[in-house]
Amino acid sequence: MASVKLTNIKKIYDNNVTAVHDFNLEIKDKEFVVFVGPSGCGKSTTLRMIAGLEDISDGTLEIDGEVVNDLQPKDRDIAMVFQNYALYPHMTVYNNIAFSLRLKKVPEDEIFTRVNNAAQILGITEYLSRKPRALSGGQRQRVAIGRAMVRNAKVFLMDEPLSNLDAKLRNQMRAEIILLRQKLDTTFVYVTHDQTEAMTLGDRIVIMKDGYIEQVGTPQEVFDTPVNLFVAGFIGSPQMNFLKAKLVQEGNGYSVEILGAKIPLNADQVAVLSRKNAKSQDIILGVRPEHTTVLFDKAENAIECTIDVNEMMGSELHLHLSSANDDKIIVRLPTVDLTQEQRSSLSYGNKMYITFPAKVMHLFDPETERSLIDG
Amino acid sequence: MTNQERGTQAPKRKLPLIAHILLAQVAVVLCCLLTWYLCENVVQKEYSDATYRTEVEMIDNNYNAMGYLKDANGKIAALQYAPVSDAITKAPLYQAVVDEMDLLNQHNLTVGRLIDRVKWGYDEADTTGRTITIDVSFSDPAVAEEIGNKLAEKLNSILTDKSKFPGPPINQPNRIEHYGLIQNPVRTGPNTLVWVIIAGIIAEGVFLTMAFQTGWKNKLTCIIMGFANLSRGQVLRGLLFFLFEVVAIGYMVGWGVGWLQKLPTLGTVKTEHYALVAGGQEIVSYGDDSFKILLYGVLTIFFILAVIYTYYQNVKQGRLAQKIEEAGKRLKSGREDLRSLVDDQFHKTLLALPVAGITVFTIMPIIFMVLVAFTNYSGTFDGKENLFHWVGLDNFNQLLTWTSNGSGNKTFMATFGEILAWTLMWAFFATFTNYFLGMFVAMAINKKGIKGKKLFRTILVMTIAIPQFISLLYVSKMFDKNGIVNSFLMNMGWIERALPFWEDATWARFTVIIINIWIGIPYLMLITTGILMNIPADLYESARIDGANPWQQYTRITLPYMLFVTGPYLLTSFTGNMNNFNVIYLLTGGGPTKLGAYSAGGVSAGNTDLLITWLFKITIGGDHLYYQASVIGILVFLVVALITLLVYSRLPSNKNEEDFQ
Amino acid sequence: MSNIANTASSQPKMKKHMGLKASRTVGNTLIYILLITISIIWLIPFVFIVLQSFRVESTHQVGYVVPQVWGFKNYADLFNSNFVKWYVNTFVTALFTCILQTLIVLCMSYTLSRFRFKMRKPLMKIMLILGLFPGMLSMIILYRVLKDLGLTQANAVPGLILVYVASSGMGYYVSKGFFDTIPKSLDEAARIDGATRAQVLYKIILPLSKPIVIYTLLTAFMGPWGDYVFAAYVSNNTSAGMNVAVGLYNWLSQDQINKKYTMFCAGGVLVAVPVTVLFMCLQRYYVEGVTGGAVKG
Repeated sequence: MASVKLTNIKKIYDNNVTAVHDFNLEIKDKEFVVFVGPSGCGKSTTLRMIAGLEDISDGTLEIDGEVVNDLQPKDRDIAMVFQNYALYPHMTVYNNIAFSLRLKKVPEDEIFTRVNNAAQILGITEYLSRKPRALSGGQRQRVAIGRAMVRNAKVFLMDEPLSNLDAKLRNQMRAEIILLRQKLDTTFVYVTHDQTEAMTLGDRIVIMKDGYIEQVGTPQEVFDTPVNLFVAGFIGSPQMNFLKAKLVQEGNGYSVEILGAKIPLNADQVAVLSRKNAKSQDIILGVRPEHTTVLFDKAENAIECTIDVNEMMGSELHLHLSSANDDKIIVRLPTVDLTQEQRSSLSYGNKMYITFPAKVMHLFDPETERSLIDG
Repeated sequence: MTNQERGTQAPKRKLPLIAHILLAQVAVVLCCLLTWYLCENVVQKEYSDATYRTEVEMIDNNYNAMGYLKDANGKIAALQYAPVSDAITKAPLYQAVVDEMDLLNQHNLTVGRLIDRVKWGYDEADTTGRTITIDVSFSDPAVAEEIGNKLAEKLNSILTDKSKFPGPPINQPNRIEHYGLIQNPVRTGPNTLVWVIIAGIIAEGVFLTMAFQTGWKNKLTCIIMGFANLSRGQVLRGLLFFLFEVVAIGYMVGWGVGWLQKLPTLGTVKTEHYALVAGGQEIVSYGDDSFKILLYGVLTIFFILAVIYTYYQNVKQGRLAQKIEEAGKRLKSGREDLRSLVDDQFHKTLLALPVAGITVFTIMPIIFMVLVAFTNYSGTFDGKENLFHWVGLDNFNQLLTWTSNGSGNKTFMATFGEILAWTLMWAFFATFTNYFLGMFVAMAINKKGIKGKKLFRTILVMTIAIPQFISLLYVSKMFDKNGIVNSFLMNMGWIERALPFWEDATWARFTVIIINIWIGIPYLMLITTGILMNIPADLYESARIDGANPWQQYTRITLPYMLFVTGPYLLTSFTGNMNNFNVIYLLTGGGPTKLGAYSAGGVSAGNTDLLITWLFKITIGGDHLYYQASVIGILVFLVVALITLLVYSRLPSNKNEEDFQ
Repeated sequence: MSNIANTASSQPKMKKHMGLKASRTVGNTLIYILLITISIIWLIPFVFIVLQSFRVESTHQVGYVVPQVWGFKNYADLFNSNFVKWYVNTFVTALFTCILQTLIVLCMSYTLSRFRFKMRKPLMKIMLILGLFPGMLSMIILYRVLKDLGLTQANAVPGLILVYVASSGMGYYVSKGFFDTIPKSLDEAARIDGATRAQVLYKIILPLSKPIVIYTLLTAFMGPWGDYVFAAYVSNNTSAGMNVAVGLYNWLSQDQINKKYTMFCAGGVLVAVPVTVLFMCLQRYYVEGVTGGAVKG
């Protein structure tokens, strides 16, 4: 059993700067949780508090039901992979991995077995006698993972392990981490600033900003039902489009008015809004590019936009559009079915029309930035 | 609410805080009363001695042998407690004392101590001065009597001993008269009032602290240090605190109080030397040693501070332990404490020895020497033979005069000002000539297209390796009047007379700076080379494309970067050069001598003297006026600190950090 | 079109190019002259000392350099004089100081680099301020204390070692700069792997610190060879307790110089040679220490 429970965790530095405010989270045994957010949001600080590398200013941290606030890192039975690998430069790969076992006075033959097993899983057996400086970035990262693996620790912490790798390697390693997770079958806490990593790797994602938790949920949850503007904009690539619009209440129904289009909301949405007694108000409408349909000709409830930029991505085009009230919109247009005439009309200044169904709309209050339906 | 805040909520008390404080006051009063009672009735108080008087009247007329002092009218002057130069005056009495060695051994006395307790005088009424009065003082009247009698007899036999005192024949034996106890032992003793006040203060501190503690364990720890830990199972910590308390009390009672008592006066009892017979064996009766009093007195004050700090820690431990207990957690055991000394508390283990060393060998001496500036400690008043004492601000007043006192020499401050001016000038030139010339050499070697970089650097680096004193001493001799340089120049016919490299003040100053360049460039070259290599090359390339010539590249790119990185180094280099003893002292000894400069105890200042070499000369030369050296040292520190503070806050590295990163 | 344009514009280009090259050669030649001159000037005094140490015809300070009569007499005389004792004294002092001082400095600089504790900044500030006091002031009282302990005059060596070593923690600056360049994540990884902070120090950090350890050992060893002030004060005119700096200095005083000048040169050579050789063997570490830690700080 290796659950991690953070209750009211705070980190306040000596100069009274609060890095982490009131962090509450329960991580179940064998769960893969990702802390994600922009720089300075407190994700690394929280991870380091779990590790014991930073003192916890307030709150309780429990690992496996035991309060570990005052325990040294080595007594918490955790393993950690660092962003810059932190391999011991003067030791061979073998010794790097064996280091923690030797400290525990594990017999040498057992060390031999365990190190070789880990090396095999990670594909670094042939590097065992080399020193870190003779390895590439990806290989070093694997050694760092190997060093953490052999400990069979209760909790596996990873602090932006892929940030120092180039894009192609990153994709490769991402897949390997998923495989690794299946093999290791332990609790993972992973920190990254890349939302793609968060979405692909995590069972649950914790989105953080300025020391606060914005939302906790599965990747699907945070994608489909973001509770506020920040989460909505952070998750998903390209970023969700935000448009100025109005929520209009008419009797028992609600619709969204935007630039001449009026889109009625569906039953579920209406139900939620009625329960909350929502009134007509200005809103920020969020629609993902992949949920937006692009039309060359005007249609009912379509919004007219002009083209700013046209990015050729190969199988699709990313069109950057401006609406009549200067909202910037990005849409994705598959190229495979376009006619030549349509292609040539995709130049600066030309008009396009976009439309979307009610169910993909996200409504946000402009002041609180919370979602009116999911928040 | 943080963990800390939660812990200090609602301490449990059975009575309100006011009640505890009042109880504490009661306890204090009781303590004072107890102290008073002890002082008055119980403590073995000191008694003034009982004094037993005998008289020996000499029938022998030979005054001279007694060495009486006669005044102008031929009248016998009173015998004072004469120092060793009048040895012969006391010689017979001391001889008597020595002859009674058995007596001494019986009463466990040393000769020196005995002499302290024997006073002699003469019968005023007897104008011939032939009667010697012996007053022997001892705490035990019986001993005083016994010794007094024995001494009188012995004195008598010596005085009648012809071999010792040849003279007219003795007609009658000397008369011995016993007067008996002229003074009974009287109680003197510790000043009760002072002790009561001290007891009151300590008691107030202890009991008031106690009032603010909760729980009997924490209260008791205010009296028995370590109790809070011991009673909760932390044996190691508790024992350490308790041991400390024992040692602290033991030291204070045994020695500490003694030193502190003498600290205000720095000693009153002088050391006396006696010779038993003229030119014979010398006995020394040791009095106070001002130096030791100052040293140990200050140490004791620090010890008291340490005691207060440890006491505070002791009480704090009690509170922390209580909080932990209330939170239901376990206290750290002794073994855990030891283990944490190599882990999270490792820094304490690592720092213990270095910090102790610095405290004892750097901080203490500095504090001590600063205090010396307020005394008159010098070669003559070195505390042993001649006690020194506090003079307050006298030294400063005396030295900090700007106008001359008419003796023809300049005042202290005038000379100080001159030397300070030269010191600053020297530091400035020494630092910056080395800096820019070293940088120039580094750039020359570093230039593209120059081969043999390694060779040139190695040659220069080698000169760093050779111990400075050899280079400096030899070079200083090279520039002597009859040295190699002058001989060479004369042989070449370029000059007729020897150049006064060291004899003329201005020449000397120039030569010193030039030679310092020779010493300093290799080191500066090393440092600047490293930094030069770090400047990104593309800065220069883009500058060249923009049309900058080499000089502009230097002033716009190289120089700002160098100054930024080496800013702090330049500052430390400047202040270091202000105190650069070796170069100046070994080259010139501070000379040539300033004419008309202030003479500090027979030591005169030189034209190339830095403040620090002047300080050194005052310390080792002439009257060894240590207190003057201290004053100079303090002034030097103030100047250097001022410069450091002023410059440091303006350093580019502090202001423009972002620009370079 | 393009070819003609190229030839037309190539002529002036070539002229400029040659001018650039020529001026560079001139510049370089000047620099070579400068550097060679500097090298000669820097080495001259040492060459002179060596030459003078072989001078046999007279022991005075003279106005010429090259000896008329060569010989080893000066060196032989050294061995019959107090020089041997001074040399041994200095060597012993340097040896003990070297080891003990390195220990203390590394303890201090490692702690200040790696640990964050309440007294850290105050401690560094205090040491900064203490460093501003002229070191000479402490001399008087330290001498008195050493005297009471019996560690002066003939017993100057243990006294000197004690004083050199005890306060050496204040010279942490360069070593700390070095330790600061080792990433803290190495410490953290080791601590998570199960090492105590003491184990982190000697299993991880020290193996990586060879350059700075050698630098500290080297500078600590070289120090006592050149210390005049304190050694003079502590030995207090007792020849048996002097170090080479004091002894040789006395040989150049007014009354002794005419007998001892050439011996001074010989003595200087004997002191300089081993120290320089040691330094040159380890100069790589010295340079690394100076350029790395001294200035980055």
